[in-house]
Amino acid sequence: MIEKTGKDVLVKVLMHGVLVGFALFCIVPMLVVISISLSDEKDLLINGYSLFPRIFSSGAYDYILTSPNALLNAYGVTILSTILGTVFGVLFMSMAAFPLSRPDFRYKGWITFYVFFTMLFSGGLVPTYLVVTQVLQLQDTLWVLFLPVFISAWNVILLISFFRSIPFEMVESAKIDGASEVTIYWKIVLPMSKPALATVALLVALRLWNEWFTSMLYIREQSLVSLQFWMQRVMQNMQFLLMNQDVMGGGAALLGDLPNESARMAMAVLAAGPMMFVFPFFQKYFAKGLMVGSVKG
Amino acid sequence: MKRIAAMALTVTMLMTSVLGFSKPVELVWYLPGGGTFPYTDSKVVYDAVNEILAKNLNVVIDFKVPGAPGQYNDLMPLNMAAGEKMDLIFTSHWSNNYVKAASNGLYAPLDTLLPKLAPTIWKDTKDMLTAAKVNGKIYGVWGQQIAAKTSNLNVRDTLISKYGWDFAKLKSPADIEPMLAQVKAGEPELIPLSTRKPVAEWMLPYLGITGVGILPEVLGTRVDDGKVKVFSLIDDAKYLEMVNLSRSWYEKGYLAKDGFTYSNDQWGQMKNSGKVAFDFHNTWKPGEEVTPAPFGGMLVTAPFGQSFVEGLSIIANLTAVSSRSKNIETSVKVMEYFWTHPEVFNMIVWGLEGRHYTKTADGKIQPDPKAGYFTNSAYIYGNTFLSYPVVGSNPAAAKMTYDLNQRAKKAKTMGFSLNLDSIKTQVAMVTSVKDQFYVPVVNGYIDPVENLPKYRAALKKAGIDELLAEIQKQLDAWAKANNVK
Repeated sequence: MIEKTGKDVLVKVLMHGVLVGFALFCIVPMLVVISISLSDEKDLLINGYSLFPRIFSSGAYDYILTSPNALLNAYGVTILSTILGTVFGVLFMSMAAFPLSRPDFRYKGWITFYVFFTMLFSGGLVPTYLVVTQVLQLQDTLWVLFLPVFISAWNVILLISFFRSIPFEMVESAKIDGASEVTIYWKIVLPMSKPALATVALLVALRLWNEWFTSMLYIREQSLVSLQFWMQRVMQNMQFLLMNQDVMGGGAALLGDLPNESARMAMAVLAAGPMMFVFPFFQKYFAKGLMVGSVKG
Repeated sequence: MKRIAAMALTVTMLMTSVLGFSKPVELVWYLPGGGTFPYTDSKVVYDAVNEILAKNLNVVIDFKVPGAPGQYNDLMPLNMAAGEKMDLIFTSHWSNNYVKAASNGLYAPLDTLLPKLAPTIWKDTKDMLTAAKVNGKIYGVWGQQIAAKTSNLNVRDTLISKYGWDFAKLKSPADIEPMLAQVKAGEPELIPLSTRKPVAEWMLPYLGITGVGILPEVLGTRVDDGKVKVFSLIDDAKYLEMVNLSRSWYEKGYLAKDGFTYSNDQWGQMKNSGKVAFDFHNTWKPGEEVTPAPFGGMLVTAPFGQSFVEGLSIIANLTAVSSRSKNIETSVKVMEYFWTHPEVFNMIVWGLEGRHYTKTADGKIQPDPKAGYFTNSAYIYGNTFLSYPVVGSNPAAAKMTYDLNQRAKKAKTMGFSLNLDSIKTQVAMVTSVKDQFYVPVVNGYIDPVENLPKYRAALKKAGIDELLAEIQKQLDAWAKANNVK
């Protein structure tokens, strides 16, 4: 038993104080967001934000949830495209990286350069748009949301360099044991590369989850709109309404109690809320995934 | 309802084909915004509009609304480059750049078509459309609205009745100084004057200065001068009077002490929440001198000085016809139809009566922003003067605004569009100098005596002289070609 001295206690109190303070910095903004989303719009306008709603109102949620299907649908689209895009993306990128990482593949230099080249010089927005809409005819399909991220040059290069760190002798010995290339890829290289795969998967998933630009460019069909784009559009529409209020005049009476600031925050809560509850349960797997293989046993 | 409309549409289409008419021509109309979130009723409204158009014009329109102006602006260059089918296109200087697209040949010239196929549009806006000329041709129809710029002042009615102010005697911005003093003394919780934009900027119409198409905070030309000449604003004596006025007000405490730190949005919010007493503006709408304020009560507006129309107010909302369209003439006819038929125009702007708005006894309308269709943007669809007056607005305002537009002096530079190719560097450098000096110096947050010379020197270093010379050269060439004196 170690005796506690006054100094220890002081240090402990100080440390806890700093940590509590830091935790507050993280929690208070969230609380304010929730509070704003539950506040009366007019009160917000006149008295500003507060940590707890002065005048409680669920108007913002009522407004957004007038069409709950749109929100649920957008969630569905985003979840589906994230899962499909991540699974197939990691699969295809690792399949591309596998031969390119092999010292016994003759054309790896040229092909790697070909992949690398697209990182330096991209086609530009207009040509990309033309290819997607006219050649591939992908506009207004679910495909367009995740097909383009199946291969990302940067991630392929990342995987190539990781695969290279796997000793070539292992591949050779597997070959001697009679393993086919597919078996080597599936049974040896992939299991040994879990940390790299996890990293790439996380990068791809985050990108797909936050994707709105692709939707903006290619999606007109209501039922295929992704979550982020849906929210962005709602916000822009609100701003547009406010702008029109300025331009057209008489707006104050017109717009009435249409929620604006509170609706934005309500949307943030609806969009981030489920993730905040889901993430802690998956966090340990994420951490594990990133740690796998880092300690050689 | 939706199904009935669709059925009615099919029936009309069937009938017309049975009776020997051709199938309705389908036009594609691209525009921003369009209906409030969650847009549930857009299709219902479009179907109803199409039913009327099919009957009367043998036309149906596919309305394409990619999003609010920001998204619209990102998307349209792509759509046009991809050669997507489009006939009518909303275009302006702030979303889907008009001059750029027109000079790239994406729009069809309308000079000869308008007088022939759209006589009302031509009669109403002939003079204004000079501003929409690019390389001598008109490529768009202006959705007529307030175009005249007039410096004006607004303040809430309670303060007016409390202090007994009389705005009829207002001649210049300096005249409000005693009122600012009263507010400062008597209303400690209010900021006497909002400086969302500097006083001098709001007073440009009062001073008779208009822009040349770029850097409106730095460059200007005189509306009423004998010649077309571009100059640096801070070299203009009258402009400097405004800067000095603002400085003296700042020193007397009539402006917010920390005004420099507020963003445009924050100023807007402070105004909407009733934390400022006076606010200047540069657009004044006759007939709408008293409007409801967001924080309750009324806002009273008082104009001073002359009104004039500048090119930018016209190319703020145009509808162009795609040069690739196979139905250019029909498209122009459709615009004329919307321009002259209040029934259709109000349907596309406000939705369906009884469902998206209700009519009051005095012929005004009360829209319901939550009913699933609410654009509140008549200016995107065309002739805003055709719009039904909204509850709380003045039904006579449309006519008064039209008259003001006609009466107001037209800036000489209307129709001049600047070619920036040779002066891009200077524009970028002058812009960054402006970003550094403009707000603090012109508002008078810092002493002009000391800082104006610094601002001037920095502008000189950034190449404002070459900029002025090049713009003047283009102006002279343009004035000569168009016989402007």
